[in-house]
Amino acid sequence: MSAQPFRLATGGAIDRGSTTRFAFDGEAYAGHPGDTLASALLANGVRLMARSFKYHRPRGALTAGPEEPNALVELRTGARREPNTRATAAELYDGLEARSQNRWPSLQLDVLALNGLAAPVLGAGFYYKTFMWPRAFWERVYEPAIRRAAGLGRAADAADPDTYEKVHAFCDVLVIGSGPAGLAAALAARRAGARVILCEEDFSLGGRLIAEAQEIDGAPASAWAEAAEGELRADPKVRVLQRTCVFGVFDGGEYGALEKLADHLAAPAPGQPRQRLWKIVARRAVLASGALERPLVFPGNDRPGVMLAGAARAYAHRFAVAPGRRAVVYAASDDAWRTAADLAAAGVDVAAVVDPRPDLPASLRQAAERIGAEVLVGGTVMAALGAPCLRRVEVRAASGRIAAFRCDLLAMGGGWTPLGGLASNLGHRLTWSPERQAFLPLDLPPGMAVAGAVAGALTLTDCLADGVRRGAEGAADAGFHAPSSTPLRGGEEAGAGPAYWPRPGTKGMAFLDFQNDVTAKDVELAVREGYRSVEHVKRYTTLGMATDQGKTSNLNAHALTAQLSGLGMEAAGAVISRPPHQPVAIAAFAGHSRGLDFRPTRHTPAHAWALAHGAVMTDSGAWKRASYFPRQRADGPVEDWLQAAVREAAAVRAGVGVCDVSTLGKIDIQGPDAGALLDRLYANRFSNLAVGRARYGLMLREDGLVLDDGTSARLAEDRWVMSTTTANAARVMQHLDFARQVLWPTLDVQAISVSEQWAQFAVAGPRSRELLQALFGPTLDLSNRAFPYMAVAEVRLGETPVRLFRLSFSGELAFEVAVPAQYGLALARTLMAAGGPFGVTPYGLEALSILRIEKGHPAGGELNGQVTAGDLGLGGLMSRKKDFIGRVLAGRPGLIDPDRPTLVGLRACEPSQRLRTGAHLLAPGVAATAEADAGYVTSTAYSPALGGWIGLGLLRRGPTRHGEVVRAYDPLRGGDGEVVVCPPVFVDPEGGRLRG
Amino acid sequence: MVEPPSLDAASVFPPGEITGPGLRVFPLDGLMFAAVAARRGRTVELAATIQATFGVALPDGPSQAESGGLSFIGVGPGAWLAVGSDPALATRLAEAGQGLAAVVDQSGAYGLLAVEGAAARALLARAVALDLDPEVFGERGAAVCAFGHLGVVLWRAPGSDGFRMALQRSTAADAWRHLAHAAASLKACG
Repeated sequence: MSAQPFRLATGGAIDRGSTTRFAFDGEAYAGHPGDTLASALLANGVRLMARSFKYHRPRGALTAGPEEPNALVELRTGARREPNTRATAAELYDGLEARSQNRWPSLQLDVLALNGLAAPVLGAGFYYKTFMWPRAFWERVYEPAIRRAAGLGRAADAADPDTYEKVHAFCDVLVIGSGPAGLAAALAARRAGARVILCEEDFSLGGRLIAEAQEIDGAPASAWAEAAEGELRADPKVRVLQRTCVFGVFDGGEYGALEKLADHLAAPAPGQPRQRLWKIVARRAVLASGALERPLVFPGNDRPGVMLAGAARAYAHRFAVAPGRRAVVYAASDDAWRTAADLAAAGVDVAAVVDPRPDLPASLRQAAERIGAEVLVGGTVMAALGAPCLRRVEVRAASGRIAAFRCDLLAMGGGWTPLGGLASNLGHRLTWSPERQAFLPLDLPPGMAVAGAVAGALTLTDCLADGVRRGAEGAADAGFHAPSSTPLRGGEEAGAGPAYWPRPGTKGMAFLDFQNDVTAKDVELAVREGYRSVEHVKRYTTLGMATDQGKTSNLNAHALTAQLSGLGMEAAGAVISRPPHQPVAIAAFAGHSRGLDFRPTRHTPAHAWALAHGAVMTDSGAWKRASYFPRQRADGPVEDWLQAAVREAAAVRAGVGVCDVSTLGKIDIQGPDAGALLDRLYANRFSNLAVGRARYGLMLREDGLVLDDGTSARLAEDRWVMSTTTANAARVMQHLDFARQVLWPTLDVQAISVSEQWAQFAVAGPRSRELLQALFGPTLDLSNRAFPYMAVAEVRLGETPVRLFRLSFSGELAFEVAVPAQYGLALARTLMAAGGPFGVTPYGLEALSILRIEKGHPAGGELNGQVTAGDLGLGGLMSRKKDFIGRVLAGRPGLIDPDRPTLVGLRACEPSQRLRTGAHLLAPGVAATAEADAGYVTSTAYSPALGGWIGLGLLRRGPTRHGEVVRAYDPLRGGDGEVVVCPPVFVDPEGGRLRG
Repeated sequence: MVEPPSLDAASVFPPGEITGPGLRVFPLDGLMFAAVAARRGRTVELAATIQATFGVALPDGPSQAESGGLSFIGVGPGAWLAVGSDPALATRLAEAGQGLAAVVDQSGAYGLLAVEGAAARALLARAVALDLDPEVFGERGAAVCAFGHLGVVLWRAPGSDGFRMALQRSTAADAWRHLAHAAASLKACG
């Protein structure tokens, strides 16, 4: 249609039968399925696509692929707005909306292009040198201003509405890239019997096979690619992933790949992830990533209309787009000369072919002259001119004569750089090959081979043969036998010829790194200022540090550095490439793990019961636990957390409460040596505990510090159940398995986690016995005589097995009732029903915390991995009659120093004065310095029993200081007040209530 | 005096199934679980006893064996997860394994899912980092592994091409959401 004035009448891998409507900067255009945004824009005669990052220079498409540094646009709108998308890789879809970015007020007229006028002073290191003083200005003034001016588009300001997923895959041979070498490798590996995964970043397979007019065995190369794709796709042992970029190589044969499932759609289908992150484990990999063409370096080489020669051919052959009307070909590599004939065949008037190299084969010249192009061997392009797009090229011929050519396309080919970055992801440096004039991946990660252009092959025939060889070898290494095959033959092709590198002394703005606006002068300045290493030049100039990671620019800059420094290419070396090879959205790494699923969540069996009672839930590790159960107050609003917690705690002290303690770790320990193991795990003795009894135990780490505490109950002569804190459940299980399997494998003892098997509830308060007695009936005697403090029994409630423990964390008469988890919800409801007549109150973690602080029980705040048994006042538990883990190292001088901060109780001098956890303890009247620090507050609570704020703390020589007044200083939250040091047990220190 | 109440058992998974093209994920209700750990040096005798009493050859290593609806899945050295429909599974195993093994009822701890259909592997690949190809993870394949970030026990369903996945009760809702998410992707992407 006439609306696409640059669309060729025939050819191309586009679907002319249907039209794709899209918009760029609000203008409506049409393209075809199979187009990229860039090819469709070029078909419509739109050449100006972007403004550059620093100087706001007008830019068009330099390439026809994902290495594009220039044509970065914003795609989509609203929550799906996506900046910095490469128009050359963005697949066109119906309704696509794209906008140019980093320009104001418009792409044509960009006020900040004035930056370009200041370019002489904005060179490499400008910011480092200029914005140093005053120092404080950097964060508040300079950096924000610079960031505003140097734009890279705008991120969406709403949450991403799409989903992402992660998938694991395994294969014998992974082939990266589907050009001639990749397709040949995949076919060879599969024909040998290997399971194959083939990844192609583009939406079409074929690589250069679909971008060039080439033949294989006398037929069009694109037809061969199509047949190869058909064979691979039909095979159930082959997975072909298009739109999938292998972005990183990791240890152990793992490869990361990103599949764009819905980036080519207006919006993903319902349930369809937008992108998928593949973790591929491959026994062997064939890297067939090809090569990228290098720009030539001359003033104005960034102007829209200046394009890589291979890209110009790709637009003509693959997309049926004339990349211009009148062209100059600037070739510094033999193969770039073919561009002249290809463009002529596409109806483009080729004005001249310029090659800076002297003494070229006559065949090249003759082919160009046949199409009527003027040939300037030994000539150089002095300038590409035109605003904003290319209109004219000035060339200096070998004779010194200056010639000017009117043109709207300059196709430049500076030779091909093997794309070996992935091979250096694990630290293997690329090796300079003087013959090939390229850095090649010769030192390879384990399991990886390289094939085709990335390995230095230049012609189609060589790439195909290399692919077949590496694919077959990969399969053979994975244990398969490859059948022999007939070699495939491409047509006659020019090679590279003598290499040509950018020369020092370029005048004007000649760009090396188009995306970060780094010019040849910047690199020259860096070398003048003493930088020699390419890694340093990179960081000083920001070369190669944009989102394209210097794919088109690095080698030209290295060559310039090598010449200026006199080091030569080999010594200058190449930078290491780290993952990701292409940008990967963080959402793709997160996959399903977002929002509610950001991390695992565990629900107790009675979760629904807590919710039904209005619980506000809190995170306790992965667990959701009831924090408090707010009620509507008769005289006003719903209780806040403190009001609810205080009411719940008071109800436990006065009547009875029920608390879900299912999250505590529970370990079933069996075997003739179970008691012996417990003696070694706990600091105190357990083997002498009677059946039907529980005991509090303290566990140390090997280094003598406290690991965890809890109770263990003896259910039978050779069977115990251990309980751990919620936080340390997994850690203690690990500790126990280590002790059992590594330290004392001769002990006959088995340990199995039963944390999930038992739902457990604390029933606490002076009326708890009445409640349980009512529930279980008179056949169960819960009297003090029959079931004293620390008694344990296995009973039944109806048909359900129940474990009953007389344990108390609250200091009240209390029990814990456990049932198999499937009955947990029913038990919670049953306890509430049975407790109705006694005014039972559900209580949560906040009330639990109040109750245990009032009783001085250490918990998370105190068991912080830095305390000894002595610090907690539990030194007396440490047995002197047996060995146990941590015994020896607990005796280290530093751990028995009487100056150590030790557990104390703290009471606010002014009861209403709020105490806060984390406040530091200081002697009164002493300056608040780190040297004067005497300890800190570990837990705090408002105590309904005492009618004021209390706390636990670790205070130097604490037990000797009961009665002293110290200062609780909390500069973070503005707290500063006096507290009285006291024994840590505030309520019922004699323990009469819990034994009641 | 009223009779002591009897407690109702709660199911592990939300009601319903997850389905898609070539996919059916559904809970297998009414199964009992027991953890079995051999006493030191008694594995051979235990295997003989299990064989004699239940007709199942205890698997050695990460694999599973099944007979008459009773499965043993190797979950560690000298450790198995037994799954069957006998309501007294743990008791019967404990009796048989007296002196030879520690047996613990885990019927409340786990819920079992069937993952069936031609797309079962594609679904599991979205959360399980294991090669489940039939040539690698064969008919007796079993693994203690991660499903997303959750610990699970996974094994091949006896006599079918599907899988069985035992999940801890506390994590079942999480896993169910992950499965539904993955199934939606399967449905959309094929």
